[in-house]
Amino acid sequence: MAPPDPRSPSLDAATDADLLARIAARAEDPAGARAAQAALYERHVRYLYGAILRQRSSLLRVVGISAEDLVQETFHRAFDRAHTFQRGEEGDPDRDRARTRAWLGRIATNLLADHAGGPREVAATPYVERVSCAGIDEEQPPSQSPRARLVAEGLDSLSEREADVLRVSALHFRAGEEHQRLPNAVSAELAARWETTSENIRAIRMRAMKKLRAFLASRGATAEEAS
Amino acid sequence: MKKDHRAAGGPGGDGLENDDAALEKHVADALVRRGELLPTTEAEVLAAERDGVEHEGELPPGLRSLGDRPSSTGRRRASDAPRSVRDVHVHGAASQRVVSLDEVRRRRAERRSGWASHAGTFVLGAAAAAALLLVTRDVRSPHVPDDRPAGGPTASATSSSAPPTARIAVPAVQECAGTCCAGSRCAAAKGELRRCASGRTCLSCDEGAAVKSAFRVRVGDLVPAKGLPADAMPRLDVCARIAGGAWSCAPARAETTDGEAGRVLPGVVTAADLAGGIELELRARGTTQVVGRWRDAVRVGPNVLCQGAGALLADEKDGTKKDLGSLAIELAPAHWVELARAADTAPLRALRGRLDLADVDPVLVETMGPGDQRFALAVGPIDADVAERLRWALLDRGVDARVVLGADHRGAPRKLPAPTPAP
Repeated sequence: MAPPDPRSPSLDAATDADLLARIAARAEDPAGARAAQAALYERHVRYLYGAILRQRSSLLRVVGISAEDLVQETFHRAFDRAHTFQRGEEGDPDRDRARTRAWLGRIATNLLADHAGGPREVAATPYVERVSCAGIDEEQPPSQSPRARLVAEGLDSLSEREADVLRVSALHFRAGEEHQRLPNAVSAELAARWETTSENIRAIRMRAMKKLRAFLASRGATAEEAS
Repeated sequence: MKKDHRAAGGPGGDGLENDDAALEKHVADALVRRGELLPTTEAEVLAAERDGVEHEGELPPGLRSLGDRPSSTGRRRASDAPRSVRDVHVHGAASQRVVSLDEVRRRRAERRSGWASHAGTFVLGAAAAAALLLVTRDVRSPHVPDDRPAGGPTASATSSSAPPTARIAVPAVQECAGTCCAGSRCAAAKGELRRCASGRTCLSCDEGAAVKSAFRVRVGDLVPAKGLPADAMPRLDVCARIAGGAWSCAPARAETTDGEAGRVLPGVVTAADLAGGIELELRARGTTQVVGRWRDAVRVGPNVLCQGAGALLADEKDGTKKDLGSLAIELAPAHWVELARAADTAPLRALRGRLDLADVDPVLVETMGPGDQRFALAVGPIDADVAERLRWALLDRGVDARVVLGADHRGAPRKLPAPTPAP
């Protein structure tokens, strides 16, 4: 039997969750899984590439990975972890699409966190192993909150190094780093890049946070937001 | 809020208060808002989609189909695949939305003189045209972060060696050598290319020379067209991004009269980045509501480096187009030649006193470097070709020099008095 055409009506009509289920079942139907992979890729590559391109002058530069490599690796990791994807409440095509893209974003974010500590074997990616769908369907995007807007303004007042250190720190925060600090390997990598010491990287981070607090205070706000 | 499990001052710990946990979360959210972290919830994705995150152009060859898993070894450092330069000339050629700078200047002059009609035939001389772009080469906002471009130039020899004691004469490095097309020192320059609004004095006709340079992009104030009422200006932002990077927004007209006019976009860009396209959006202030757009690739050549580019923002709806305003885009030089660094300014001033430089003036720059790297004696910002000529002129005379992008420079540089003539 010929393998299903990625553009066949059955794949066109399939939800992302269905495609990922087929991908997860590749042991039983390798051809079907490959077609589903191609279909999922076609649906989301432009979004993911566009979102990753936004970081090419910031995080990608610091971490040292190209946008194309990150896109490809994200999709391959997504296929590897297709079995971990959790369906949402289907019926709303916009939310279904956004859910998949949010999940891909988590994988890419965690890949960046893994890469930030320096070159390593592909298999050793502990942050990617942590990717889950927990909280993926939060109603209000926190990035649109007034507080996030104010902090975004405050970030403009930082130097390039301070901003870089906070970006990498925030990357790890988003990747699920429990202690809100830079892992030693990442501090060392940043220190090498900036020709300074790990201690100075930590000092830079503290200074950056202090500057942000001062900025918020000058606007009559504090870092603590009512929960 | 995540609980801070670290003991204050413990191994690997930063000793931060619990307050930092909340701030850290807000920083992450703010970075998502700026497009510097990826959306990771459905709501964030939908917001990003509304912001136009989806890549609209052609995908790079490596992404047109699902390829093999990228190799984990030999990872490239900060370099995407080079783009091909699209053959789009900025001045009135392929894109109808690119307005000539004469048009921008006419509109600006009409607005300033209170003329109501945009059909005026008033033509500005080169001096007035230069004033409109308000280029100030030696003042830089301390808040503009530097970014090294993908595949951009790297530093050469390190500095901080003991300066020589004898006077050192360094010949001119900004004279026009080879075939030139524009600039006040270029005898072959014609018309408006004889004097560059950007301040450049010699531009090669060879577009390949520009490929090696990095630039800072400065976006001028919006000059409103008839379709935009003057009282709308205070309620508008101009937002810009390059090659699909993060958006950077500022008021459509600068609210202060001191310092530089226009906005310098964060980071530095290369010719390849610019070929990927500059996008401008006119938005309701503080929101993502777009009222007008302009988008085009910019081919870096002597015309653009001399006079900049003009952009005409328009609102296109249902097949009709309404011009909203125009503005100028300048590619400013971004390279510095550092001669030495020191813990304080005294040895750098002493070094400056021993240099007889024919056509460049070093300045003192404070950096974010530690201890003995805190201050630098440097020349800039200049284009890459001038930087390289200066670097070799200094190295040939035993003065350490390296070309940098000033990533760790901070604040405005300080001019130094010219040295007293040698006896």
